Amino acid sequence: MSSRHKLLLLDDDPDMLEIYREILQRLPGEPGIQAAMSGSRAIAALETDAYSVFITDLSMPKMDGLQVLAVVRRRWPQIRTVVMTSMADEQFKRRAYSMGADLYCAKPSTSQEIENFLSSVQSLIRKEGNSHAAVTGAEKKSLTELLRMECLSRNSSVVRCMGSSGEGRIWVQRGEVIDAIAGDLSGEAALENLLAVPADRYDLLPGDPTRPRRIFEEHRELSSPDLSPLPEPAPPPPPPTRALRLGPLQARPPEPAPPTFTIQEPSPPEPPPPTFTPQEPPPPEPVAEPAPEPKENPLAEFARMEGVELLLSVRAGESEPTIDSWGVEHPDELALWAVGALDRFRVLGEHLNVGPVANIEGMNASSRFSVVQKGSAALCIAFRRSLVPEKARECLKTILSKWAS
Amino acid sequence: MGLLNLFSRSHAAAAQSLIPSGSFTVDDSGHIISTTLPRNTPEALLQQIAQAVLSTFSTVPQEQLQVAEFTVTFNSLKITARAIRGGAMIFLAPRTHNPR
Repeated sequence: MSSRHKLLLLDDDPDMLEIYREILQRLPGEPGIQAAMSGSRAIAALETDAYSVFITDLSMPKMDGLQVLAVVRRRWPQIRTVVMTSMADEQFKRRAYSMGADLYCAKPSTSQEIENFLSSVQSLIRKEGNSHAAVTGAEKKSLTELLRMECLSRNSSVVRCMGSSGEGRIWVQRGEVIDAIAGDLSGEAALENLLAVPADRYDLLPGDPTRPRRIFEEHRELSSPDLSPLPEPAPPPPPPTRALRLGPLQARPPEPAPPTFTIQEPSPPEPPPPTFTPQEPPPPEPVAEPAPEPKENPLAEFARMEGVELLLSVRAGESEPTIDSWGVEHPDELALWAVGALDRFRVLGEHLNVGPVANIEGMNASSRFSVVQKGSAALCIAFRRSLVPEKARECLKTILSKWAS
Repeated sequence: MGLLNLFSRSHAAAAQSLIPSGSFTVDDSGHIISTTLPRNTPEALLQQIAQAVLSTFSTVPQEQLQVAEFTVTFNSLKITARAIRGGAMIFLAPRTHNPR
């Protein structure tokens, strides 16, 4: 393992990112510095690479700094986190620290503040190097809170709940819980079971857009924007081991009826049960689907290359196209656009007799992108704009040759 | 008569010659506002190009990928489009060689 530390910066302002990058490059040991402009891209970067320190801005559109911080503390508790903001608000400060931030500081503006900031980050890196096992209080989150983060971030993911006696899964599609399985249970019953019994471990896996919906009820507790920690569900009364209970046999026992003090009207006598019809066999229990093995993102290898901000691959399938993505919040929308643009210009090229489309390249204030088609597959890549164009071209060439094969 | 074919231009070459080098500006409904292209450039052809460009700008999911400018490279033509307020500026650059 390389001893060079890696830092991840998150800010929606590209100019600020460049300034921080320059400042942090002064740190001894020349740590690797990656930048992300949105929470989802930061999370994608953390999924791809190992970072020592995560530095985030607080106020950002969509996922704000505290929301990203909550995800980072839960999924990567070993990472040191720094919240940098221009908002001098005690309430935010308290909240950031209660969520497990290691450092909350104002954005440095004077040379003295920059020096102080650098020594703070340096000290965090040293701490991280000394104790990988150190964790803060925000490490352990309840499943409700994890699902709430996924719903508020409008993410698509699969939450795997691991217990000693089995595992369950919950499918989240664009911020809505659409299905769950737990042992033989499925749908709403499985979700309730999983929410009621704490598991040993929760993992977030990539979303499955093909999963059919079996949960239609809205769960208000999962869409509430309040980020204060929720109480953990009470563990089962005298369990010898703390395990995830799955299956109908381990489902929650029926709650005792609350005591009532009203005088009940005498209910009319129930008709006797019919005795002449043979009992029909109960309908077969729905067979729980076998839990699919978590798949490695096929684009993760390319995402580790320097300057890559976003990757999306669309391959024509038998019925529906296969979309793989990295650093994209809604891959379907981007895939639709990329395929549409390629198709539009293919038709134009045929009409003008100028040959097929070799590629579509473009840029914006913070990145350069390329859309390339190979046979029935299309690839969209965005690079950080500050990356040297020759390097970006070289990187694109390497990715294309590997992706096409 | 086959001998004459040797001296006649192919259909592809004829179509390609319709596309000169230059630029034009369109509003967001595809109307040509200004152009530096020769007068004999068919307007219908420019509007086809403009429609493809405007659709590409208007359908991009801005939250995922902001697009201020893009270039489409064909074998024998390069189209560069830049988004401007209320439309687009489009540059046409025929390519003389066929890169392999």
